[in-house]
Amino acid sequence: MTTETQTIRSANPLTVILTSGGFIFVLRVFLGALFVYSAINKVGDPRGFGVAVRAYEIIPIALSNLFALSVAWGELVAGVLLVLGVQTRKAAAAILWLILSFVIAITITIVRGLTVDCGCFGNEGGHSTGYGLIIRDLFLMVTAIMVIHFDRGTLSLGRLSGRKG
Amino acid sequence: MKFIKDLAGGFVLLIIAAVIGVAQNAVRGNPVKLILEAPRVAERPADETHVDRVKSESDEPAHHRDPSDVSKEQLQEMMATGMTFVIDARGEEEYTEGHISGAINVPYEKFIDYYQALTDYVPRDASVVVYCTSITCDLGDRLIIELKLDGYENVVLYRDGWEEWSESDLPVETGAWEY
Repeated sequence: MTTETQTIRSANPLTVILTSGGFIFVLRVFLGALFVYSAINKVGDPRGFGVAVRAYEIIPIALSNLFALSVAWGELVAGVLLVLGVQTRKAAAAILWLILSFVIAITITIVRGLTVDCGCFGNEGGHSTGYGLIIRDLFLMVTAIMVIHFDRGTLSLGRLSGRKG
Repeated sequence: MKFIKDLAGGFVLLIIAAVIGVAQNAVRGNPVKLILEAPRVAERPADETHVDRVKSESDEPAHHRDPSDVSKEQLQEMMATGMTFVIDARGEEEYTEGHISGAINVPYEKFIDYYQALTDYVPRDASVVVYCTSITCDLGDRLIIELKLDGYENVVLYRDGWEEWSESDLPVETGAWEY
């Protein structure tokens, strides 16, 4: 830890709280659990998620199922690793990539004037693409970046087993 | 630098997860096809948006029609044989307010919810006509893609859809589809 960081922390109690091991632990488990929950429907019903992917009209139809399967399992694996605290920074980075792809896809649909079911939690319906989803995803991106930067392995399996995240 | 390394690690993790997903799909009971053969449907320029299509309609009404599209006269003939299934791709509310007589409702946006009912009701070798609101509605095109990917081969679009049909004093019904 650098002297500069120590100075900032001592000067700003909010920064101390937001970067504390306990708070980052909460963010880590929240983000991981959210993505595990999101992945369950998709992994169980890849056909349905393929329909949701095709609705965006971005990925070529030929590759839509492969992409859907990859996203679903990416969410599941990264989410489980985050909850457990194993390879934490890489798992958070994987989730950052996923969210970035969601933001790009939603932005493209807005620009093209399409409204589609977002498929955020599989093909469950009820959530259409729009600016609200982009704001939600940006919030999740900030959460992932905070985990990547500030995770200290609090209550993580990786730390208990002596591995670094 | 560390952040870049983490991002690279995250990307590798996603690739590993994708491999796990593909492997799991291979051993599951009802695997999805990984590489799909894109069905032939009415094409439109890749950079055209839904809004562009609406705008261009007044200038060149037939611009986005496909040779396989059917007219209302052809649809009437097909319906008269009693061998054709007509599918309304619009939402439940619009269908309930009014639809072509005998048509069933498979809203594109709820395709998966209706999937079981659709496959129970409509055999895959059946003659199927899909319609939406009008030429400016692309739900019919999208539903046809899903139907063809699922093995329905004889599917065509009545592109002028509900607006033309309802204004032509042809048989219509109201009420939800009971399946």
